[in-house]
Amino acid sequence: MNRHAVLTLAVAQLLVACLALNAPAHAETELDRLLALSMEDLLTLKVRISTNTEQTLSKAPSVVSVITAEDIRATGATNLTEILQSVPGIYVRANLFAFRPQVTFRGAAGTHTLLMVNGEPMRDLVWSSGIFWKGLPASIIERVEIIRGPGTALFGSDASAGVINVITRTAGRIEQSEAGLRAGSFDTQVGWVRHGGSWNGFDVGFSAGLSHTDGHNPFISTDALAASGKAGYGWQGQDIRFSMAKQNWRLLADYMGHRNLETGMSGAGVLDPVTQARDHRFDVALLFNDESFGRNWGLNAELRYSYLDYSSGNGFQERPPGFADITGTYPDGQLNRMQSSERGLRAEVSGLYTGFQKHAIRLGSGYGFKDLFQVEQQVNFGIGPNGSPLPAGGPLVDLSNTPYAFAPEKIRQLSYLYLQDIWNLAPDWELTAGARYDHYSDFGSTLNPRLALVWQGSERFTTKLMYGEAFRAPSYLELYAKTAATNPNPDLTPERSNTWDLSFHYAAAKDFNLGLALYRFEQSNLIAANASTQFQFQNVGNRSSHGVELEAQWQASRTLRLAGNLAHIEESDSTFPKSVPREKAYLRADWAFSPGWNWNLQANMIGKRAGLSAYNRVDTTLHYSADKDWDFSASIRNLFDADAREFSAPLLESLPLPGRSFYLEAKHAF
Amino acid sequence: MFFRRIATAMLRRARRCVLSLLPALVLVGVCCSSVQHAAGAEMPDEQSMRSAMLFNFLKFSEFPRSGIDKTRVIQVCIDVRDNRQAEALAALSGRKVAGRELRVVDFALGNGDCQVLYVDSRQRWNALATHPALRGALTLSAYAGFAEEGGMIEIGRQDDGIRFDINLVQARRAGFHFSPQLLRLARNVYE
Repeated sequence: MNRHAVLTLAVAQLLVACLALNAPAHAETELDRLLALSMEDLLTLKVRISTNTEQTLSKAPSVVSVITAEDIRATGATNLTEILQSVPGIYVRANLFAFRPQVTFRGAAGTHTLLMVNGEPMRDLVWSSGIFWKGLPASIIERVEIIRGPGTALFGSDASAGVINVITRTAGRIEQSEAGLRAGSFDTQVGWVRHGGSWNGFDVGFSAGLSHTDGHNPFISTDALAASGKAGYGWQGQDIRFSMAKQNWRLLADYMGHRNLETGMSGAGVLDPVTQARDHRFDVALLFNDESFGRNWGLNAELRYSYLDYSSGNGFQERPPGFADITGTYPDGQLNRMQSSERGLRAEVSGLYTGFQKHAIRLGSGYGFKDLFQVEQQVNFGIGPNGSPLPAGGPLVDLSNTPYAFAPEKIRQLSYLYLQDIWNLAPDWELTAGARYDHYSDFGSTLNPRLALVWQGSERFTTKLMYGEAFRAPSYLELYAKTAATNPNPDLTPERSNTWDLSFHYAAAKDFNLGLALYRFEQSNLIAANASTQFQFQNVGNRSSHGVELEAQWQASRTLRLAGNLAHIEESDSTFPKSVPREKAYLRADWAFSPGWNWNLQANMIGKRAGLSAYNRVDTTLHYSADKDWDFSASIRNLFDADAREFSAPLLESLPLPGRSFYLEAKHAF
Repeated sequence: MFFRRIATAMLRRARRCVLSLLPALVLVGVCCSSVQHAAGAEMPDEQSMRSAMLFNFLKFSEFPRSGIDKTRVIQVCIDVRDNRQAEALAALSGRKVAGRELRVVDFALGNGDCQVLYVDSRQRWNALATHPALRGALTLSAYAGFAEEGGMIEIGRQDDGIRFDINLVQARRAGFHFSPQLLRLARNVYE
């Protein structure tokens, strides 16, 4: 018997063991069993208490969208970034460097989106949204909560244009064990397992997933050096999550990592076939939530630790072998090997006081620090460790622990305080007023207010008028890091924004909902590095926009559900090119044509962008639940093979997006 | 031939995937062997338990004449933030109590005709307590202090089990009558 056969047999034995252990659990639903009992019998039962310590976005009166696990399953989405395409006002832009998905709201840059997983921001100190960020596997997601508009008054930096909080499946919410496999185009393979249980009175949850893809590797006919070739975008990912919960306490321990990650092109738009990067991220959070902590008090507390490191491996190849400039010729090309680590700790306590009639007052405070350390860099071009220029064609020299490394080993501390009052002015009126004060050790303080007036005109009609201010803290890249494409500026101040929102929700009928949001979004002090600033980051930009977002959901019949949205942006003043579409539309149909079957069809219509044509992308998924235990789906992405391209500033040519692709998925619950 | 080639390729990929999953599967195997399953038959979750309790309360409650006599439907309005609780309550839709069908709706989306209200926090109860749509509705919640703060039935936890308190004053004021059997089982009856 060969080695593979032995391993396969071992896996099969483990699965059979798990199946045998868990088989009797789902003969009938829990509720059916309980309803068959008398009241006396119910009172004799012991109850499994689940905890509820995640922060929900609904506490913030805002334009909120929620995507559920059911939506994810029906649309065949494999990654968080695919799911987000369905939200009005959100546009996911792929970056030429590593094909990173940048989630943008209402035409703002991706750095103005605060993306959290279970309340933990995914940003890093140097690169803001993560140098090798690849989204999140859909299989770990329980739901996604989205605020369109500012969230800084509660959540702090980056929450200028929108906030995304991903709630993962954790202890107490994993009802059964599950294993799944997916395979498809671009040599993509994904596998995951999940298990929920109880141990010594604790709810416990575990999930693990591995993925591999070769990437769609688009052909670039002209890069920034007029060369051509394929940009390799393959990568492998690991995602392991463990959680424990008991009563009001919850412990989360998450690991995410990427390896053999091809960046395809350098940040300056030069083809890079060399880089095989990797990163690791650990997050540990201890959360406490008790809505009835005291007679009129609810209490939240959290302690979070995060660690991440990233390395360029043998890259980055900033310029190809044979490259020549005024300093001479580089036979091996210009190489830039970088790696660094970050660690951080944050503690926050907040209380909700409901002792005053018609008021719910939330007061919170927190302190945290982030530390950039183990900054290492080797280069064969640019400035050497003693400050003098390196000769062309020389070997790699070590810049680590010198002032010329790409970023300083430095700690950023943050303390903050926030206060919010939700006041029921009258039976149908609610006024929310709040503000958050943030103090950063490296660039000072900022205060950001929030006001919202909500009128529930009738059970069917809700109107919200909202105003909020927000900021984005400059990243270490902008403040301190010198790269091949940009120069830092330690005197930068935070980017600022303010937003007016007016939204309406109308439940026109039991099965028909309409939503309309109008907004005005002003940004100032925006940080940019371009030719006019000698590629040094400066607070030079402004952007003013207004827009409308319309959405509708209609359960047309017992088996047919239709949904759609339309977003339109008008930029009246902007220092930057219009790289996001003025119009974006989304349509979705779900038809449960037979018991167990669902056919999903969705279309994303992306309008024109600077120098780029509009395109329509259609995806379809056929889903079949064989019984409660087996689940199959087949998807075709970009069904009509539309020529979709993304804006990419340094490139003479735009970045091609994936063409038609196919995926098959099977899941088994036990 | 073409399909066989596709099938062979898919099988090859699936096998590679399983092999690459081996470390994770081993971990799960360890979990399976040492961890009891959560959904054990003897230990229901609290959300399902509350739904079952609500169903039983309706069986033992006599509604005011002006309430549901006009219709064969009992509309249960809910205002909760816990998705699992919402799902457990929604699962009652379509079931019948004394020949009347239950219809569970989100309070914000209902047509304003609630015969029963379930809220999950003091904050939301404070916001809804005086709402005109709830005149004559049976009110329930699981937050501590609900029955003392004008609610009718509070579903509470005690040790590892579920108990309930009844505010008879509020219930009678709204025209509800509870069976003696139900009152006998209550932990506290406020009168």
